[in-house]
Amino acid sequence: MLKRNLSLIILFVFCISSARGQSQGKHTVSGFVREAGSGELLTGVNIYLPDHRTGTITNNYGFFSLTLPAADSVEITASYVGFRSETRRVSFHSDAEMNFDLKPNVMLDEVKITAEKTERISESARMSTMSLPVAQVKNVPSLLGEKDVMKVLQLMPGVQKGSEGSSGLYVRGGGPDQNLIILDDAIVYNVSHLFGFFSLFNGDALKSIELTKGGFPARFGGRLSSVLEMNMKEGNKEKWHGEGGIGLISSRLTLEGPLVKNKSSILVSGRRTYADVILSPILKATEQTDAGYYFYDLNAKVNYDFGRKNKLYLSGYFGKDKFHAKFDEGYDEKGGLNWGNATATLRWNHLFSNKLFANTSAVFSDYRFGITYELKDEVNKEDFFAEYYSGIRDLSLKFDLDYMPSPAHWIKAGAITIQHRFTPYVFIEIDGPANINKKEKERTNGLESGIYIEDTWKPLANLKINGGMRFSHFLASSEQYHFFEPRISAGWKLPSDFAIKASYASMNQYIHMISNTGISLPTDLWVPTTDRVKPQQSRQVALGAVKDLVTPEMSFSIEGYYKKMNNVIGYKEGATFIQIEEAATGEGISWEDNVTSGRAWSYGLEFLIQKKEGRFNGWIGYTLSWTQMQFDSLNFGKKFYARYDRRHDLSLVGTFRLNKHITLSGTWVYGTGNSVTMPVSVYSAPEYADLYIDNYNSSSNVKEYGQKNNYRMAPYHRLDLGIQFHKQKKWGERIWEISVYNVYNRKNPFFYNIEYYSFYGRSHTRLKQVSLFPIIPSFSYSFKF
Amino acid sequence: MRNRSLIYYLLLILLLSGTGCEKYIPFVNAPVFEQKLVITSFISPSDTLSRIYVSSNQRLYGFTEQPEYPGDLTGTISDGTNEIELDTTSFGLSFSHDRMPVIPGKTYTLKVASSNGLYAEATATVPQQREILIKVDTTTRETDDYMTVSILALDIELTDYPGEKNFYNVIGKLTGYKSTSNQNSIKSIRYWFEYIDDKVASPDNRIKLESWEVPSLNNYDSAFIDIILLNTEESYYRYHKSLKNYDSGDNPFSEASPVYSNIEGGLGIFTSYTVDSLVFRLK
Repeated sequence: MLKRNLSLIILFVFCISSARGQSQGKHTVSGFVREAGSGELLTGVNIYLPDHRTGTITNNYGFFSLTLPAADSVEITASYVGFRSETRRVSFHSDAEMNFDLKPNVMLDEVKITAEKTERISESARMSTMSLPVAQVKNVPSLLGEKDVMKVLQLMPGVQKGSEGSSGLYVRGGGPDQNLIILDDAIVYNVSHLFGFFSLFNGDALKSIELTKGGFPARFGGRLSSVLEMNMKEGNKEKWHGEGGIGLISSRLTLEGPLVKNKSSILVSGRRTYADVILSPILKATEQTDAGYYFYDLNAKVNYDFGRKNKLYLSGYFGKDKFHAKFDEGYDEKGGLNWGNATATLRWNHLFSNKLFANTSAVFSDYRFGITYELKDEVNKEDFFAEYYSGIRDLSLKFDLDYMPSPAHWIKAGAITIQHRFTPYVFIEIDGPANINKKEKERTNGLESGIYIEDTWKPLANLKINGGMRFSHFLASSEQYHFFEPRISAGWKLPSDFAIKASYASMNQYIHMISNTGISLPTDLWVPTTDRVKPQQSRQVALGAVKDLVTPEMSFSIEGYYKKMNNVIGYKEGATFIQIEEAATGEGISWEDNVTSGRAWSYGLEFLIQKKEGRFNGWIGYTLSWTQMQFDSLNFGKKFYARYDRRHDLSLVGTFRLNKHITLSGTWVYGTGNSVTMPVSVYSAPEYADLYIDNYNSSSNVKEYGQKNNYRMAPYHRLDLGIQFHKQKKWGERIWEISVYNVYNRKNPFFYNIEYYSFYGRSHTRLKQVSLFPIIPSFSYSFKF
Repeated sequence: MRNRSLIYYLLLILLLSGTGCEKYIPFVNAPVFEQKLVITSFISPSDTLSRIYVSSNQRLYGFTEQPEYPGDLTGTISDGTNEIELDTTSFGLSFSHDRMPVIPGKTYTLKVASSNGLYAEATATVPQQREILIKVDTTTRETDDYMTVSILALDIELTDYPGEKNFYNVIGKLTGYKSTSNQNSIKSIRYWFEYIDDKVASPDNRIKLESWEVPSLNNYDSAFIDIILLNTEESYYRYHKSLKNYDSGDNPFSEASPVYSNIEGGLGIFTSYTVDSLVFRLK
């Protein structure tokens, strides 16, 4: 294994050397691509040179570089979805600098399809990757009008939601803890508001959203199943703008503008729900209880452009959910539940040369949830306070290099180190002024590191390969682990914009999320790999074909994958992690004793037909998949289907611009029901003492469950429709949106209950389905200025 | 936290948000009922007769008042060399140790069939008879609840048999007697059960149990405690631990916690133990 890994590293060094050799006797054209009117740097812009029939794309910071043979001049076209292409010609007797300011398409103008200059999926080496335009998130109808990045991602093939309303992502058979979710380089651990019904990503603050499900480049690591990389907007460097919205349960406002024109800008975006304001008077009147719930998000970013060679960014996210209740039962009793994330990223872009770009990031990320309880009884002289909290905090340093020596090579290399601090729980109890009892589970630190190198190499005109190696390391308190992770993906372009792609990726995951519920709860704990709980590992292969159409501009893709996972975490039967009473004694909670390790297999086929431009755009995504697991200590050691094993998953998404003022949108989703464990019969299970100890009777009738996840819930399907009314005003634009969630009021299963009832005096039992969201109309008002 | 667990708050929120969404769906297909034999049997060299309790599982869905019966039963028990037919009884089946001795270290295979076409089988290996040292101390301590009270506590310590994997069940039964004016005795009983995996033993093979707090004996004329120590198979341990942890599954958001079974083709437990016991008088 070591010999093979060393051979791969030597091969890469050779590639770099040959790349440098190829670049001699040539000139380099480089520059940045921005959005005209705001100065926002654009990622993934296609830079094409028709004379040379070659090109590249801008990196995450809008930078591109191409090294070509010297010529009198060279014509360069920059094109990007949603923007007007721009073509310029520049003299090429020496290295040239060329920056582009692309103008957004004016809405509803006929879009000229210049497909030969637009980036096509068939030309990329990467596969299993989806870029989601932020504008598309805002057009898709949503629950209560709350636009949600995660909910739109769940409409993509290969991505499933866990349960009704959940924000969790289940990607190619992986659980929600196997997704690396990054916002401006900071890892976000809990992405849910209101127990998973909404995610914490405010689309107004985002610039780019990219999901990778397989064929992972070497720069990504630490999770098995997906990487969701989101970048915040920098803020308009030319003039002040704002946008916002008022919805049924929350409102939002984003302000962005220059601090120093064309040099520095700031963006602040906030959102808050007012469910507490609405519910509180109702609860007081009906239950004599004062209870409420709210959440808020705050995104902020400031940046300074020191010039071509240096740029500095500081961004942060702060969000919180808080539930509180006060009971009026003759004494003062109140409780609260709160959870939240905080992240901060300081980034420095430095251009060493017109071929070598570097980014250095220092990142802070913190997730914490807590429960408080207080009792003051003046009559009985009782005064009691208790607090329980748990969380994870990261400090990390990241360095990435982009080296573009020639059109045939784009080399990336870098390193990252993350210091994790895990706090399984802290419990504080104050019973009277003199009795303070604090019990703290020993905090655990873990150091996770990675170093990588990768190259996107074009050895032949029709062949593009992204190959790389990542070395990952984890230092736990008493153990350390390290692995080489080879990665490769390749695309072979055939005539007529058709391509075949294949990939292989080896991944390791050193931190785990444990939860014993089927829904996303803030009580999900993040814990480290230990000497008893090994790192989770996966190997994934994928094979696919894609076809780009020019007119109309559409793409078709079909992709098959097989993923094998080892050391996946499962929960022992009867395990529970939410026992406050045990926390009070400081005993009993050992998460390592409650989990077990096993294996999982996931395989399937994904189909995607996508249209990105034009008055009508959208996609059809279908996934046929299987996900099975096996644990020695569960289900008698036999294989079983994962809870989120979903045989068929279909999404139809469409947006149609009827005219300048009206946009229609709709989605229809269908999914096979989740696999759950249902009891099948009941029987008597006496203890030894029932049979052999006099006078002992434990009255033990228990349910038989049969095979784990033996029951398939009813299928899930739902239709959402929306209509937007746009109007240009002197001060900007306003949009009224009316949408209906679950148009035909489908009663989708949330969970099942057993109900006992009497029918003509005889006892019967039946399964009762509990559904969550009926037909829900909503309206919202949005504005831009 | 005073009787309010985390789940209480979480379910309150869900209740508030989901009120009115509970619907009975008549076409939800319930899992199909498959009748199985339910076997419960604990065999030990210390008995003269081994009982095999046999019943049927019962329907969970639909009309539930009509019980399911296993039918007429037949069965065999084998020690790997000999096999004998089991005797039919009112509770199921049995065999006398005169016909098939139960010997430590031996493995027994039980097979049961019924006239309904049901069949189940299981195996059990009798643990070796080991001398397990058990030490019982009584201590008096004061509670720190609302008022200071002296209580009697029993501290029990076992010495694990080294070099092999062992499981133990320690049962305590406290019986108090009070004579009444009409010469009858009132007795009150309290039980303790401890199921132990020897992985908790200290390096010197000692296993210390949590103290058993004895309720006040002031109202009794005499009190005795029986302490029964069983050296059991792993299946015995897993069955009783799973019964203790059994979750009826009413919370749809947590993992079901089924009861362990080692019966192939059926449900229940067929397992074995050896026994030692102490009786001593507290008052």
